[in-house]
Amino acid sequence: MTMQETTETHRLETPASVSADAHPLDLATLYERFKRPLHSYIYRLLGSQEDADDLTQEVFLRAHVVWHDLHDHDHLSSWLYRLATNGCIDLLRRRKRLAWWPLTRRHRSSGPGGADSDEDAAYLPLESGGIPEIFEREHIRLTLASMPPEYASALVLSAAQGLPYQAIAVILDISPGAAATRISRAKRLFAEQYQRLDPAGLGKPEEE
Amino acid sequence: MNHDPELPPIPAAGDAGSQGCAVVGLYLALLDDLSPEQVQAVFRHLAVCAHCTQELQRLRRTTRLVASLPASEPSPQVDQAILAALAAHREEQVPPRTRPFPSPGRRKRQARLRFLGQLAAAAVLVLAVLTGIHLLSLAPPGAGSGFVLPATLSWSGSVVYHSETRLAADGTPYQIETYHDLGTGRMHVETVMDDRVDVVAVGDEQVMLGKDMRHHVAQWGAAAW
Repeated sequence: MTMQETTETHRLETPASVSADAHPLDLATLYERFKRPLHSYIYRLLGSQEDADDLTQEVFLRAHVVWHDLHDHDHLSSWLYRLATNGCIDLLRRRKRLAWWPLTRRHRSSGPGGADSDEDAAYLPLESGGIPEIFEREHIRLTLASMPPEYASALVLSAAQGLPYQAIAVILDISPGAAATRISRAKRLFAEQYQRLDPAGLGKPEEE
Repeated sequence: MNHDPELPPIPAAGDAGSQGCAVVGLYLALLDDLSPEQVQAVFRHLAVCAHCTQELQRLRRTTRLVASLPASEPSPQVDQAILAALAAHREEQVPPRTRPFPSPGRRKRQARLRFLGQLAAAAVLVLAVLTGIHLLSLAPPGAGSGFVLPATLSWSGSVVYHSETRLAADGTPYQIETYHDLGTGRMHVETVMDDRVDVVAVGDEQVMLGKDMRHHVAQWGAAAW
């Protein structure tokens, strides 16, 4: 609350207007504090600035709708991360469904063999331009996109957002043990997929 | 040891069977989140287990790769849009007619209304004086003013913008209703003190017209306010 607003309250002298301000933290302040970590989280998962922009906006507008009914202000960061995670998982699932058609066409035109690689290759932008860092970044994103969204989000929360498994458990609304298991499996799954989608074998599907 | 009851206990260093390695593998993936004691127990196992040592390299590489994805922030336009939306929603979230008490977001509007309230209170005083003068002089009501209220005056084209009960100096409650004329976008104020005073202040471009229960009319130039 700003100084000006405080004075305003006193001048109005209506008790209701004083008691109505039960929220010490303003949502705009919360936005300023969390916009970077949340946007980074979403961008890392979705790989698109536009989608990350949209989802960040959605998270804060949703947060706003329930803001005044929110009593638990101790876990605001977990709560925002949960909204973002749910949004990401929805979008990733939708993408996988949408990807089915173009991928089928792609599969047919590329001939038999390497169907799995083709499916994921649809996510790989062609304009990586041969720059190694960009290529590796796309390789990482491709690997994340190939994983079940629940695992990809747990992995990004742990490895990139640097959150401990106990905090991730709160975000995902599962037990700490389940969060630990999910992170552990997600890391192994990533390692396998990353290997499988190795750049050397990406352009030309491996022969079995 | 800072043990999480949700996780299986870390096996002793000698227990390098596949079962033991599976449990250690769980801890290897969470190495950054473990207490120093837990890390020590894990490393005692690693010292005698080549398989888990190799697994740790693989997991560390994964962490490093995912962590290498760059940070980002909302595009400037989106950033502005979100801030504007949060601010606008704050203003709109309590429509004036559905909630009797002011909320924090409406303070600015409240301040404006408070000003209108003062205008209405001033109207009560001025009209009371005018009424007294008229009664003393026994002049016909409204005579000499040259101003009349619009014959079509009604609140039908207006919505109640604000409603407030106040106490006069002697403790008598009076009601101030502010109407928003949707046609002209102007504000009108009616002040009612149960059956004793009813003052209407209607504004146009130049003047504010006031009318009380006995049809006495007062006029103020805009500058006089």
